[in-house]
Amino acid sequence: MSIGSGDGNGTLAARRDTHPELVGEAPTRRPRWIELATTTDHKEIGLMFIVTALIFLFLATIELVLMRLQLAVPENTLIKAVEFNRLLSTYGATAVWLFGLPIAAGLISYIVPLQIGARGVAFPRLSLLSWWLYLAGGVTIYAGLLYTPSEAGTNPLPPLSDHVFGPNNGVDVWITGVGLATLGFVCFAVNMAVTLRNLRAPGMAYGRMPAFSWAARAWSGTLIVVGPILLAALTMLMLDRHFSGVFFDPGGGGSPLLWQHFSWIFLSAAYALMLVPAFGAISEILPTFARRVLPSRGAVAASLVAIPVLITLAWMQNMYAAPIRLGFQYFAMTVALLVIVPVGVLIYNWLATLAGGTVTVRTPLLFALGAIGTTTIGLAAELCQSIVPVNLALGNTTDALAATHYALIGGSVFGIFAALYYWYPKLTGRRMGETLGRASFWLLVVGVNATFAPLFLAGLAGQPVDAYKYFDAGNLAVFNLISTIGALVLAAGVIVTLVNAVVSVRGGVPAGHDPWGGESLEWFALSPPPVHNFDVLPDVRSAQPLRDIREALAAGRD
Amino acid sequence: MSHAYVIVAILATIAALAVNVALVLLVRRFRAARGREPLPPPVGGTRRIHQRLLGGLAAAAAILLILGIVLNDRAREVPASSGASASKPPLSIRVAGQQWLWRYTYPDGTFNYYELVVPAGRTVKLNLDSTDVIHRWWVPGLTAMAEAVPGRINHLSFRADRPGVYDGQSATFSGASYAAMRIRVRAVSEGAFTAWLAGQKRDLLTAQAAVQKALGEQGGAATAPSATLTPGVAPQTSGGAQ
Repeated sequence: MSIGSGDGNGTLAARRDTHPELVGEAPTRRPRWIELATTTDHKEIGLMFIVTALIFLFLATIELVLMRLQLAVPENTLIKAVEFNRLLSTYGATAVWLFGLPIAAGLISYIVPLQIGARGVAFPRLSLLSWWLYLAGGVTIYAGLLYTPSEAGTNPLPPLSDHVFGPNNGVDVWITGVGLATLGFVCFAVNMAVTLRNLRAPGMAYGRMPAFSWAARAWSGTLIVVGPILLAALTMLMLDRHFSGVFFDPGGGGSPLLWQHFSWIFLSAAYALMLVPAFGAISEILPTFARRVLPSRGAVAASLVAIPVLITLAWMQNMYAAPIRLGFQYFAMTVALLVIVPVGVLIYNWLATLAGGTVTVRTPLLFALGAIGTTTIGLAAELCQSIVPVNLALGNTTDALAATHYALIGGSVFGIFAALYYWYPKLTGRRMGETLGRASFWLLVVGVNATFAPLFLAGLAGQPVDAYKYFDAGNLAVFNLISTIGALVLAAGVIVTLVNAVVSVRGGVPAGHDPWGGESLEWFALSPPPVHNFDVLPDVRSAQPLRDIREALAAGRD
Repeated sequence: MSHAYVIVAILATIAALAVNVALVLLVRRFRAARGREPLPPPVGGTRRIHQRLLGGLAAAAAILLILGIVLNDRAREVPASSGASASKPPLSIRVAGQQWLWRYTYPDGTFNYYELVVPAGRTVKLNLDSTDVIHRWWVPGLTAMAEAVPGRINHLSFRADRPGVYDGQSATFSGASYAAMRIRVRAVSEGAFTAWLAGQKRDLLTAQAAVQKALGEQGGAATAPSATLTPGVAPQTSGGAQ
């Protein structure tokens, strides 16, 4: 713990005799849980985000495994339809709102102020509020499991989610939980956008900002735009349900398609926001472990901003089958295909960093490579789905499900785990275990591919998503059995890293302030950093401030 | 449609495999060895490379876009009736999704649940909507998928080339029994279709007459209305945002 004066009460009292200018009481330490609940330190808030999100990752993994067990054999009776639909709805909310977005928030909260050489964030209390709102959202959704959770699916489309077809409180729980969490993320995004704008260290121009900070900037800016749209839609749905609203009610002049537009704007953005922080982290991990700079930092930064903008604008690629105009379909297809450009630029920069470098393979790099490989498969499949005739043949099949999961597990599991292994020494002062890390990596590689590759084929064979059972036809039984076994391996991979993170808090190898030879300012701070982050801020003179410091030290020694 | 998938799936597989193979090869080739220093960044920067890269990627996106539009035009083409049905006009059927089955109403008002019987070789136009929540009509062997949204009409058209049974499934989550909301299209010859439609109409009228007779006896009404079927005209939609 770094909070506190470092002086015990006794020493201070003793000093008061010799130093009469010291007046007042010594700062007394409050209980640890009160300190955490009221902390305004971006690092502690970041840690709370990370720990909470990892707990929800565990829950989401369990839910995924349960659903896969039900789908292991055709017409299985392990889990009843209603219970499956509850699991499905809770899994969707957990994966996006309680794990994918907040784990990125946690890493951003901890790392970004350090990277830009700030001693804190712009609005520390807003930062704390955002964690509390997120926690309240998570507790609301899971408290629903005690009485009636939502049964309306991953995206509760009205009329299925209105008061006629979803009469119990499940959808209210979903709206409230998701709404609270989203409000928290918007607060967080405002705070981080202002921090990145105003609190950069002297000399830390935008052009010198590390890739992960650029990702945080894109992340915050996107959330500030799309968060309020979802909040408005949630409010409308609540009004429809309880106050005779007709926003989404075709009988009253409303339109169910309106909800599809609003929800898909947010969900498309959320998809991108689960990729972009991972892409930012990868863009720092590869140069660190290959000891080579990115070919173009500017191109990487521009790509990190372009990806969420384009993917959000292509929201109607999820609505091709709905009665929308052909022009809308082609607009969405055009924008979705343009995503090739920033993703291609990123992949080129990553590969070109490895080529010609001296690559040291450690767990952060392994996970980063896994993230690139897995996400590329997912994005390529997603690209197929963004082409109108393909989507009209395969949308809402397990093919689409596999595409989304390849991309998001590549980003939010492989990519975020890479970031976790990379920055864990900064967070705790110790490294995560290398052996467990490698075991987790290989389990995840096997698990992801075994779970989702067969689902591509099952989609082609005619299996729709979200169904609690399927009927035996062709090879569906084989595909689904392999997928279920894969899900168990995948879950093992996730759990091994979670265990690794827990045991390494005390059992990890102590790491200095800069275990990997990083280039950005967070490695200048102690591990873990003191509450004020830096005693002395270095003058930032290039995009690699730590290399400058090392060179200056070496020059001084000679 | 299947062509569309095959073409883009091959391109996507090549791209994804290429990146994965490149990752493995690069890491193996450039593993750190004692005394080897990383290469310096290219002299003069990478502006030229990036310009070419941007051009290439934008071209790839443009080619895929054109491919997508061409394939979509082909998929949207309304197939003309062929064979014995060549002279017949398209058959227009109203499809109403409801939790958790489909109702098919033919132009003369005859309707059927669960199974859509169509004449093979004739163009069939579906006008889809829903009486409750959103559903998705999807028969992979016949045509594209389309959502049935309450208050709006969505369109699909197809032609079953050969007599036979085509199975499908609803593909938008619609609640408890969504998984059991299956679709069956039975394509039969023109003659068999006419006979089936007439038989179905007779059965429906008989059943309706029986109901009305029972009601008439109960209520003692002087003149029970004669049994009729309401033609399957799509309702006019009003309001609502696109």
